[in-house]
Amino acid sequence: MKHSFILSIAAAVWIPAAFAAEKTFDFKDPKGVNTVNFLLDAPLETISGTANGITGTVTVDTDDPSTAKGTIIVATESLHVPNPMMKQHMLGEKWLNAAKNPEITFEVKEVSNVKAENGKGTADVTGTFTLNGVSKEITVPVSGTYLPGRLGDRMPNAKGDLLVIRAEFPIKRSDFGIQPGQNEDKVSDEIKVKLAIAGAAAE
Amino acid sequence: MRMVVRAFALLLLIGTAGVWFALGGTLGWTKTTVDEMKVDPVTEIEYAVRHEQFVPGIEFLALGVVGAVILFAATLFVRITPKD
Repeated sequence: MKHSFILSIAAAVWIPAAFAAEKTFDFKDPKGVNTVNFLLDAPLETISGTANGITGTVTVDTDDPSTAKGTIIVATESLHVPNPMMKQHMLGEKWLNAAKNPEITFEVKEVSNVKAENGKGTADVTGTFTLNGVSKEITVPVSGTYLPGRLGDRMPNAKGDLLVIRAEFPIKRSDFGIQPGQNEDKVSDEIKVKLAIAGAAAE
Repeated sequence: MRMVVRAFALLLLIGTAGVWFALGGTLGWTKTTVDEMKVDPVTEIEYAVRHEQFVPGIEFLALGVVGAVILFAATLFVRITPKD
């Protein structure tokens, strides 16, 4: 009797775990496709740039996207604008201070309003966004595409799945202590962030 | 001598504008990299491939124009006398 009780407890714990499709997707992309674009549209000047130093992992039950947890990391040094002097200022002590704050991160806390069908879906992702050493909770509308068995199409001889995440959201540099109220005619307070990244879950 | 300096000012003006135009000059700031947009066929992510390329900006053009104007103005106000 005692043994059957223990077995039924073990079955209750292990059987759902065995069927759950929880996978960990690694967003370090050897092909260099993963990109974050940023745009600052001030009255006197428009600044646009990219960042490609993206790493991090997201663990998610592919049958239930609301279970997603993980962190996306962007290396501050990888932020690039085409003008070298502007880039030097951007990464310098007065602005992003890349030497002191080497990473920009977004840690997923909660996924809500999930609408998913046939491997595609949208959701609102709430998490902690850390920039310039300042952390703030934000909610970002995200779209995702799950591509089962497609890793081999990008990396020959590899087996596994891909998860593509896209998001577009604004942040304010003043919220993160980046020269608040300064030079807003040339460097807008609002930064439009556009993210398109693919993570791989190898088998 | 005055005419030589004025000719040099004109040359600087035309030369700067010519280089600016020939290198695909932009009305923004000078760029040292140019992005070529591509689309990953599997993920359909649009991404930029960065190339090193000098694209002169408005400050490059302005420097040439200001230099030419200063040279021309100098011929109006400075007496240039050839050495004996």
